[in-house]
Amino acid sequence: MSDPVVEVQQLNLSYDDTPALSDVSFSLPAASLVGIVGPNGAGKSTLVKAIVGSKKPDSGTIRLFGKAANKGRSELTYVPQRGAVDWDFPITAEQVVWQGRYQSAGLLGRFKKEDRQAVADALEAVSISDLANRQIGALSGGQRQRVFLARALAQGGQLFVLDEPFAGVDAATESAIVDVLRSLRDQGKTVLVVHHDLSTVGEYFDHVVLLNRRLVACGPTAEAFTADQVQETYGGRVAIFADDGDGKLVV
Amino acid sequence: MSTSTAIHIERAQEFFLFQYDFVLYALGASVLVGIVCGLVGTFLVLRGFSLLGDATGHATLPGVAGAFLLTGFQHPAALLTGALVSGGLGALTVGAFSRGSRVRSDAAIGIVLSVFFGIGIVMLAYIQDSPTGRHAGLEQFLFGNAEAITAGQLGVLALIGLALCVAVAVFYRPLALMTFDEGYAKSLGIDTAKLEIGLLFALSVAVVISIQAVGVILVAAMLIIPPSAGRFLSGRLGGVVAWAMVIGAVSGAIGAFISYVFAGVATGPAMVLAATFFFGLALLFGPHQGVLTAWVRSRRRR
Repeated sequence: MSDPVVEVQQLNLSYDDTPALSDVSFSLPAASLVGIVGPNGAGKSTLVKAIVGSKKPDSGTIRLFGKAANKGRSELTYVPQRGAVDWDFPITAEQVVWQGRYQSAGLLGRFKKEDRQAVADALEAVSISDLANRQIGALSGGQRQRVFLARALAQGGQLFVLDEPFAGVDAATESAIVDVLRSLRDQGKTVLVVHHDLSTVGEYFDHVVLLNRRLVACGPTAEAFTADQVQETYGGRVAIFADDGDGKLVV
Repeated sequence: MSTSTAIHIERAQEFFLFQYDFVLYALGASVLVGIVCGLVGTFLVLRGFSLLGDATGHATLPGVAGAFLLTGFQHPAALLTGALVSGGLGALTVGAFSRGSRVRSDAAIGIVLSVFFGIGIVMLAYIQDSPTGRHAGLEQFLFGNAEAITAGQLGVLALIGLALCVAVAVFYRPLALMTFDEGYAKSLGIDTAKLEIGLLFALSVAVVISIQAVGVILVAAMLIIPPSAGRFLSGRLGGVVAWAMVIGAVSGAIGAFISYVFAGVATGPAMVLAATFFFGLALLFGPHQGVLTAWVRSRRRR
């Protein structure tokens, strides 16, 4: 079998003296849609930041595509939390999507026809072509999330990492995003999503990582997303109403 | 017509005839200040680091004074180097504080600004007490005196300014990415820590080549006001940068003119007042969130 797409070993990361992640190890296979699930403050975003290289771990290793993380990252595409940027920034939706082409164009390289095509396709894929020239400040939360996803699509890559893409978006956007993520998975790409809503985990993800500062479980959703494991992750603070026979949890 | 008005008109005519070379140099230096500060200032303002320019400006004073004490006379290269060292040190100190969590960045800016400026003022007082220092005219660095700039100095300042503009142009894409979305920039492998140090260095250079004309106290205004005006005039980063540089340059020219016509008015304050005038216009009439523009639009919608 080929190398796992993401392989995290004994990862430790703390802010000042407060540990955010301790001794986290797991690996993820290719062509899967993976949910990172856990309560607030469980270190989900921290884990993602370590994987994408914006936070340095205290110890432990991260390998991507069987290579050291800094080498494997050329195939990684990151969609940060929406709250991480200033939406009053003077930029249009289309220009944000163009940022996805900066890396391949280099410092002063001219954009080519295929760049223009990639940007147009990405806008189309998330149905915001008509908003291309809009200021980002004038967009709704759902539209902003679509812009971020379009930038990632324009960039391309084999591993997509999304931090809370469903937080505060409308239902139409949520299902549009899920469709895009599924089609990426079907093209053989790996998609890693920080997720908050336990009720949709079973429906959206093939694979889950249950996290609460340490790893509780990692595996195919049917095996890992069980009542016991979820209770353990949330410290017994969730009410699980039914285990409806076919292994799906109703939370 | 009163005699004082007549004098002002006469001096205004002199200014436009460029009878004296130093007027031309003053004009060049002031326009240069507007251009480089508008360019670098845009990135600072959009990153939310506006006041970092203020700290850096004030932090150049001990360097200027120290260079004078070491060389014993007003050697331009020494003064610039001194200013760059202490200004850069000030900017880096704020940067280092801000990355840690012990001191908030606004407090760090306040500390660096006042400590460096305090040291500079003490050194200036010492110099002015000494026999050689009395006529050094270092106090012109406080509020700026563009008319004291020689042709040679202007040439050096212009070359440095040009190099700065080229450097920013080359790193425009990563700078824009870091300013808008640092996490995403890092995920592309951009070393944002190094890039930020580069931006702080660019800031220090912009401040250093500006202080002779605009002064250490008000240089921050030229970093902050033109880009802030630019935000009302364009919805794109490139547009904001362009507007900031144009408003900076025009304000610089007007400042040099006013300072020449009204003897005793330093170049710095005159430049800042001109920039503020343009900021006011942009704030009211700018197509992007301008106060009157937004009001008219909302009335039409009703």
